[in-house]
Amino acid sequence: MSRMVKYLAYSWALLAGPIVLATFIGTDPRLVGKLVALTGLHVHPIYTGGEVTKTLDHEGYQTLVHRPVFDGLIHERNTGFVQIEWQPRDANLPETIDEDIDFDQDGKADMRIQLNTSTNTAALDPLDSRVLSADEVMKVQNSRILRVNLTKRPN
Amino acid sequence: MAEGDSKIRRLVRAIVLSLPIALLMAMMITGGQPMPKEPLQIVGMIVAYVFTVIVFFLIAFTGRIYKYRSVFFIACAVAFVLTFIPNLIETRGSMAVTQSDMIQGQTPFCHMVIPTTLIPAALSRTIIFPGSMVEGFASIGSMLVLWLGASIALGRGWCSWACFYGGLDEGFSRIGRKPILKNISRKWVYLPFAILVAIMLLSAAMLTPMYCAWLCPFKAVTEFEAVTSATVLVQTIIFVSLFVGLVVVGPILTKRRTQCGLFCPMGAFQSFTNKLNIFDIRIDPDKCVQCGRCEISCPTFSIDRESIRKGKTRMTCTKCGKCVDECPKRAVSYHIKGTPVGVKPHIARMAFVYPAFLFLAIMAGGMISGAVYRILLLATTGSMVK
Repeated sequence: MSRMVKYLAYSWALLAGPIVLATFIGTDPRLVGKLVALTGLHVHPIYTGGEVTKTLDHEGYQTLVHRPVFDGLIHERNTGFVQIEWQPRDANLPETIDEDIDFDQDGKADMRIQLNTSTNTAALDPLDSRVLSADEVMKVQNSRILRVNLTKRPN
Repeated sequence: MAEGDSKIRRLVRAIVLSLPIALLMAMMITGGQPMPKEPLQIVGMIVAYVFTVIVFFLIAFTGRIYKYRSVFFIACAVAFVLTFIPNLIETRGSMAVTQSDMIQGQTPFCHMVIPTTLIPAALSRTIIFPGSMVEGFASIGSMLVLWLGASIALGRGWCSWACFYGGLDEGFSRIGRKPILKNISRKWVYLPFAILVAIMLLSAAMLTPMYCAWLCPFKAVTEFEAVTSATVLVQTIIFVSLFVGLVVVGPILTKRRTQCGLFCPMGAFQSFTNKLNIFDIRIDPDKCVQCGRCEISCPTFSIDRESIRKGKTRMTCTKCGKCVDECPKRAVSYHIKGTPVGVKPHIARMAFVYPAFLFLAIMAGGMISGAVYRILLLATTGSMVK
């Protein structure tokens, strides 16, 4: 076994300690943020709901419409969802919200949603054949979030 | 330790070796945060600090790694549970994760998910987990950094020196004197690899961390999805059964880490990092008398007749040190790849144990400190939650 190999092996072994210390220093959120930005990694939109594409201002609250999420592993999927959020400007949302949503931004309403913020229920009226159904309303602090299931190929 | 050392010399050496750990732990015990003001938290911190330094001193003084590492490792796992659950209840009100927690990215990320995230991360640069990349407790980014550093420094030593779950089945494996189930077919050691392949492919196809959703037994003592549907109920029955079977009953019956050795896909995945890591365990054929004690004692089924013949452990070895402690002829030793086997093994042992213990101590320090605080809180206020 050559002396050089032994020298390199011991050197590499001795580096393990500094690597451990560097690892814990590297968990600092600022460093982690830089590393994450460098890799371009982000949470999949099926969990985050995708980017907000439209914000509609109303009296006392605003409606955030996310982009439709059909993202698959490689290709887009045939079914997906669009996430809609209602955020109060001050304390609470109105007890009922009745709103037309145009998720594809073609100028025509694709669905009508009647949201009851006291019971956290929503009635969905599909105005476009791509709109399938609505999941349960989620309460996040004083906001409400609804995911509406979509298809790319309506029957 | 070299043979023939006097007790005084060993004591002095142990003190000298423990000093850097004592110093580093003094710097790291607060986890980069200012000193807490609450007296109970300060007591917890002091207890954790003293316990850590004493354990390392005993390892350095006696040369017995497994015995003391195991105590510390088990304490770490128990402390993790004792701190994690009250923290969840304080911040979220429950151990159960709701849909709104997930949509807000408030699910703490854990290393068990890492293998299932790799294919989507490689193909679409996305992480299929309802957590946060940077913000909050146990963010995806910080856990990935921890895993990467530990993998480079320790390889699958991760499973015995860093995994905060492993101490649970190690703890149960130490209950009882003799194993009731002795003859376990060696074919089972391939099961974690099969599960690994299956969950990686299924997770990529479904864009869901399948192991986390369906199988992870440790959800029973950490967090789990709120039962709101029949599917989640089935998932709950599965992970609770796996916890009871693999983490509690299996280790008691076999005196081995059955979850880690026969099921855990993260462990299987981590085995590949052993190939890149500089440290391994070697069996000196000139000293080995083929007694088989290392094979019988290995907690993760990583030594068999074939590996003894080859003079090294299987790639699944977690470098826990049990075989090193058990060998009556000191034929089994830590080893630095590229150096001669059996020559100055104490250097290789300390070269591995130092960074490995440091990793465990920094991880466990905060957990043990937190657990002592929670116990003191329970004793003084009647509740572990503030």
